[in-house]
Amino acid sequence: MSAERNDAILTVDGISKRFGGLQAVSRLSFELFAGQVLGLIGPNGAGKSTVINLITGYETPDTGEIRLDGKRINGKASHALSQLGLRRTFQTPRVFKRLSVRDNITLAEIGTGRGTEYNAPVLAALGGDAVIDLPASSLPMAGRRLVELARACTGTVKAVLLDEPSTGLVDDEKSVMKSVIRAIAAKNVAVLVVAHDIQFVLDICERIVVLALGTKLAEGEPAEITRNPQVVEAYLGVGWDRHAQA
Amino acid sequence: MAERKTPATRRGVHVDPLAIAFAGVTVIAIGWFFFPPYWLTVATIMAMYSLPALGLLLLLGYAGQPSFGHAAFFGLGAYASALATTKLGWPSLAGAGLGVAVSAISAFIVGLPLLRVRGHYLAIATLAFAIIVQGLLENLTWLTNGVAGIGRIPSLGDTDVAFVITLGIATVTYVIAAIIDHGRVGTILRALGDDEIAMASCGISPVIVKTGVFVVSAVLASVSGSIYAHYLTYISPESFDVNASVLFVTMMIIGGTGRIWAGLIGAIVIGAIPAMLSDYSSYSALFYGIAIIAVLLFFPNGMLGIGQQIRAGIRSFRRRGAAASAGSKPE
Repeated sequence: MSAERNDAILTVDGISKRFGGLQAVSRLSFELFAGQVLGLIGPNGAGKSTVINLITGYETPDTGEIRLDGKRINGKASHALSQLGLRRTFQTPRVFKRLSVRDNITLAEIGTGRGTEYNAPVLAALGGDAVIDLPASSLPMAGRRLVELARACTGTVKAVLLDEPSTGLVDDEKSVMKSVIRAIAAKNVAVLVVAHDIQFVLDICERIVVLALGTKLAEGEPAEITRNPQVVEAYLGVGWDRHAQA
Repeated sequence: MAERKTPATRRGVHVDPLAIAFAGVTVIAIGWFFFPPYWLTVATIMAMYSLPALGLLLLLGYAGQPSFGHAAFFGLGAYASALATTKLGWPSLAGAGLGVAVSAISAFIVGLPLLRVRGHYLAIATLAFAIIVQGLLENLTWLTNGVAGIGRIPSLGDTDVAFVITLGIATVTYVIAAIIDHGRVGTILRALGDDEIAMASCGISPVIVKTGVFVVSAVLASVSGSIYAHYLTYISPESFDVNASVLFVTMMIIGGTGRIWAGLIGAIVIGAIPAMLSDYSSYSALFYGIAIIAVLLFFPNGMLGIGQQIRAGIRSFRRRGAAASAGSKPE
């Protein structure tokens, strides 16, 4: 990709978070660029979801600074950040179960503005009119993840942070999810993908940040990451690629 | 995508406001000409209760926020009306307006900190608020006349006049609520009841929505309290104790959730119990308890859910029958 890389949409600058005796995130820094898909991977308990919670205002960092378009956003409420175009999904999809798919999206439009400029590819993947009037609770996992993503992409979107978008999906659904994520990034949205699923991350991410015990172990392009001995030792495991292919 | 329908144009739902208006006007007309005085009284009490029932339906049934403190707003409305009309010589409507203002302001002040706690904690916190208000009503004797209460409150009028006024207020309120229910507000309240965290991610502040619905439900209880004061012409603090708060929640549980009708159904059932038991009124609490247990056991979605439950039952019965005759498993 030849996109300009001096236009960081989201800057995470040395954030830390401690929960009681657990240092969940420790002096973590990275940048998210327009049109780029960045992967955030790491073993269980590495602090991946905490990072999303910190950025989107569900938790407040103890130290460090988070900037959206160069402006400090620490301590802003989640709904205010969402209105600014900083969106997220959840590890366990949080759809409004009593509402139809349509009303789920209507609700996001009330909060963040109308317009299908960004979520058109998501709505197409969802299946359009066939599902739009179904209760969200009737959808399987893939459908719920897409409803959440469609909700996260109403109005004007700057950055979307996806927490485990591929978990619970079968292979076909994963490819749909990948193309949807690529289509959103192609609209100059900065995308962060948090996932366990290393192959999924390698397939769609241009850069990857590896997190272990709350600190950044490595950052680089997929090929660098998979060759990095520290990453192989801490997370991937020796011979991981042979196992993955087997 | 093709033009998206707004929630208000979905099939079937826009029937509710019209149906409620029709039902209200019909009952008022029939009652005015044909109801014996006793029926008028019972219907008036039901209509009066239907307002806090609606408040709890919106607050708890839709938005998922429990309150065991709405007797406080019911009491504030009643005392504002009583004091404004007896001590200041204000007209009844101004007294009710004062009650609405006092309730709305106190709900806002109390709601902002209280609504940051959730679930059981919110239930306890609202209960504590109601106990404080009742304590004030009992002990600010210079203002409220303490446990002796306030008498000689101007009456709403004869039984039939009171009936028409109260049912008129209830009908208008429910029609407005049904209209609002089918728009954005209904969607927002249901979403809040489903998932606060997801709501914030959609750019809507749960705290603002919660505070808003808390204030609206307090206003509904307050209007009901004003009617209560003018209807009975005598009030004392004991009418606004924890039992009243529990009664409002009971109406909501019995009625069910999901549609505005549920509030009416709850109020009618709860209003009917003492009417049917007039000779055994000391047992009414027992029957409220039985009603709650029966509803929770057999109709967990409330009386409103009975229809759906029966339809779902028939559907699964048919499917099982079809599957058995075809010798295949159900889908």
